[in-house]
Amino acid sequence: MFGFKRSKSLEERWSDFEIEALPYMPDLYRNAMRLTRKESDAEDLVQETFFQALKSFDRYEVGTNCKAWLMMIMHNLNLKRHRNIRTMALVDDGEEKIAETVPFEPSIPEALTEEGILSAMDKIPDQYRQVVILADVEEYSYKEISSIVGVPVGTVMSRIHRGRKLLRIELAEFAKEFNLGQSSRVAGI
Amino acid sequence: MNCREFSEIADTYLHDELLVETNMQVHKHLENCADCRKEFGRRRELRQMVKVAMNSPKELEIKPHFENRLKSELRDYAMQQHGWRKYLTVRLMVPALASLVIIAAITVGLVVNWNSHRIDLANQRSEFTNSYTALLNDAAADHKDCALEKQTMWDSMSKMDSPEKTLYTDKVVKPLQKQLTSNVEYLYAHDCPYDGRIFTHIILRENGHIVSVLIDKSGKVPAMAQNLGDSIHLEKTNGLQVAGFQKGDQAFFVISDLSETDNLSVARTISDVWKPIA
Repeated sequence: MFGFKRSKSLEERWSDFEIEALPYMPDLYRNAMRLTRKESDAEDLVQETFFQALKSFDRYEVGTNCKAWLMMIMHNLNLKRHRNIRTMALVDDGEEKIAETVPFEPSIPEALTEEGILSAMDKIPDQYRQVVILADVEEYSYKEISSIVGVPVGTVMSRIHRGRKLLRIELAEFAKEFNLGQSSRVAGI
Repeated sequence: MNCREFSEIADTYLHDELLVETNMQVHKHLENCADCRKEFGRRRELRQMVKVAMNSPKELEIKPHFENRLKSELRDYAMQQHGWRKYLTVRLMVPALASLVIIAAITVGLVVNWNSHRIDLANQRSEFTNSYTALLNDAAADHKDCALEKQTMWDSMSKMDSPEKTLYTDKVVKPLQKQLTSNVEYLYAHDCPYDGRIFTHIILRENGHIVSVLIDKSGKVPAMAQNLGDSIHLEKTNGLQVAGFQKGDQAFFVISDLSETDNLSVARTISDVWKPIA
């Protein structure tokens, strides 16, 4: 009558968490590895994320997008780590300038290799790489990425655009280095 | 739409995030532009390859021992949150701690305020008691002479102060007679200066005992005396019973060699009937 929720027993709460959240542990680990690029850091991040999620599981509405909710927690925790070591801002400014001052957008090399793509992705600054992965690998919508990363949708769009532009630049460099056949450049932004 | 415009929104189109109208324009442009069609095909291919490449490395796979250990630790943690510990969540603790801090602050504030008020009150009481006692001693001191020791004189003098006699007979003596059903008679009234104070001194006689009613006219009544209400302060000084009370801004003292009860009855009767003189 007054909208009070019956408080769940510990077993019921754990059961919900086990069904809703735990199946995404491998996905979160993959993302943690992409974010941190180091196994021990990824394990720490995943562990921290799941404990945080368990503590605040009452806030999660069963049946909604649990993976996106877990990803949001993980990205927030990762952002905190970056803030703590005070490196992100320094990298961001420099890379943003590079992304904006490249006069041409190279076309995509004819011969794309998995090795080339991984190498290129590794060279993209975190903030762009992060949204490209969320958009292209995890296939989240702009709105979902916006809530996961905690930036406006417009910023998500511009970061994806710059991230893909940087990816093409790196792929072109990789193709040139290994003589994989880089054709002409097309006028870019 | 031209090729440059398409290039600017190609990523958003690839992600199917364009508005319906813009989508239609892109479709139209791609139908008519082979270069953009080819470029868009490459972008879509790259996106697909990024997805495959980013999912393929073996090192991205979670280690089974880590996964099992973490799940086990999570379960232990979830099941150990029993009793009061389950309330130790940030969501519950933050408002709870905030409430405690506010309550503590209010309590400390009240205690400090109460203590300072209590100290003030104690100081005021002490100040009041001291000054009231001094006033009371003043009232009793010299008037013993002018009331008790000169009572034979008052009989003759009372014939000389007819205006005061009328006034105080009406205001004091008659009510006393009515209330106490005793033999109360008016002897004399005069102003009695003492140590910088001026008392109106009404001298009565009740069943052979001289009773002095002194009204402080100095305007130096202790402030606290105004909060006494109808209470009557009793003291015994110089062998005399003294009952003091406050009416408005005037202090009254009934001083006699009556018993404490009888002296108090006189004081109470005067207190009940007294109205300021117009």
